Amino acid sequence: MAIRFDLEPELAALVQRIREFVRDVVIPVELACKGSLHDAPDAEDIRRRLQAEARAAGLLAPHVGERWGGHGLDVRGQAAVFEEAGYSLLGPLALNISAPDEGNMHLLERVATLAQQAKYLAPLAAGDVRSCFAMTEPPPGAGSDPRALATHATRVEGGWRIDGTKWFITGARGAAFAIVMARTSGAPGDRGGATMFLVDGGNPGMQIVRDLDTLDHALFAGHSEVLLKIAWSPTTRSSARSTAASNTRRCVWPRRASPIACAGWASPAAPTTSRWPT
Amino acid sequence: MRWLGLARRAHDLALAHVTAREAFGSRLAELGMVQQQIADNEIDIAASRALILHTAWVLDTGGDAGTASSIAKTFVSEAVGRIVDRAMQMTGAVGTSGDRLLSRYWREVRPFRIYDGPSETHRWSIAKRAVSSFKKRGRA
Ligand SMILES: Cc1cc2nc3c(=O)[nH]c(=O)nc-3n(C[C@H](O)[C@H](O)[C@H](O)COP(=O)(O)OP(=O)(O)OC[C@H]3O[C@@H](n4cnc5c(N)ncnc54)[C@H](O)[C@@H]3O)c2cc1C
Repeated sequence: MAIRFDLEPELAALVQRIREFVRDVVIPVELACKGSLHDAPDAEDIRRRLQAEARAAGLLAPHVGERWGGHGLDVRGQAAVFEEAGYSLLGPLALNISAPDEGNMHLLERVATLAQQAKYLAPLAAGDVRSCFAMTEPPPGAGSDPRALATHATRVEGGWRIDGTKWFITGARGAAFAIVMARTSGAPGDRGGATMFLVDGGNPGMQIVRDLDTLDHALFAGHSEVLLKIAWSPTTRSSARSTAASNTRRCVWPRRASPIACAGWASPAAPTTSRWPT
Repeated sequence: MRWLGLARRAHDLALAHVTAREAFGSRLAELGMVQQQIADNEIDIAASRALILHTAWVLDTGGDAGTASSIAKTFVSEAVGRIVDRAMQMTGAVGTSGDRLLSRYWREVRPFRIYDGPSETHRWSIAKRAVSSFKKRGRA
């Protein structure tokens, strides 16, 4: 049996449409802003304009399932589509498949509850909102070695309290929600014990300390240092119910990390869980 | 996947330069050492795509992609860096300037060797799996 490298006709046609879209719509915008979005005052306009064009062309978030507006691509389909979108620095943003949103969509599609999907995945896949993924911490916290995870979440009546500092959090500024990795058991240095939490962007306990000055200028909204002092105690619950604090939801950290791996080339068995796809 | 597309773009920008620019009585693209860089870029692009496709196949068929994804991530992130760097070399001074997107790309791809697991942690994990698999087999 010969190994097949050709794409089935439907996928080949999709890749061709993306090639033309990138050439005709995205590259002119990339040239005009020199591929640099971190400091562009109209970055949000550029994102919305490009994504509106992609939506009209039926190319928005092609990786997610059809119920979320995508084409339900398998990993091979994603590889072909993502490579073609990547021909412009702004192609992934235009198609809503750039880091960290693409990985977060993938994750929510696989591990989130239906209610979480309706609330977080639907608007993310539609390009109405952006998100971020917060794992990395300044020393001595989590980086290459996720066991160093220092941000901790403790149960309080009716909810959780999360304390910690994260940095290099791509897209944190303006994100509608963050997926936060926090320790629910063990101590820094211990294996395991991490849980992912969905935290709404408006949560008063989640503050941007500063934006880091980095080599790259194209990952949308740059990379921020974020202070987490999220309190959801019974005394604040009633007043916070309508605010973001009431929306600190626990998401399940799958025992086998491999479903997440395909989005981010993470290595499930290795002590590395960083997973923003590239 | 996405960065491979950008590496292709950088390579195309370099090709546009070396096929148009004259030096030493010919086009740059006719000089051997430039051709070597063109060929090396083609090799890195082809090898990256093959590793990505293999990893996609492992994932799509429900296999354990730990080693395949670490190999692909390490190789592709480094290959993309080499491709964009060679593209800049072939394009000369203008490639390092704000007049060309290449200089932007060169900066954009560098962090790829650090996030999603630095090359070192992936190599470490690849080596550990190789050693433990050898121990299980028990002989050469
Ligand atoms: C542009 C960019 C965007 C990012 N976006 C996000 C984001 O959205 N969310 C998020 O949570 N994080 C993000 N990160 C952070 C990224 O995941 C971390 O940088 C990465 O996990 C490495 O951790 P560290 O920087 O703390 O490096 P450290 O852990 O301090 O490691 C430093 C270096 O040590 C070496 N090293 C580490 N382990 C080993 C080993 N086992 N053997 C040999 N050498 C080793 C490697 O060379 C490594 O680069 C981003 C980073 C960048 C640069």
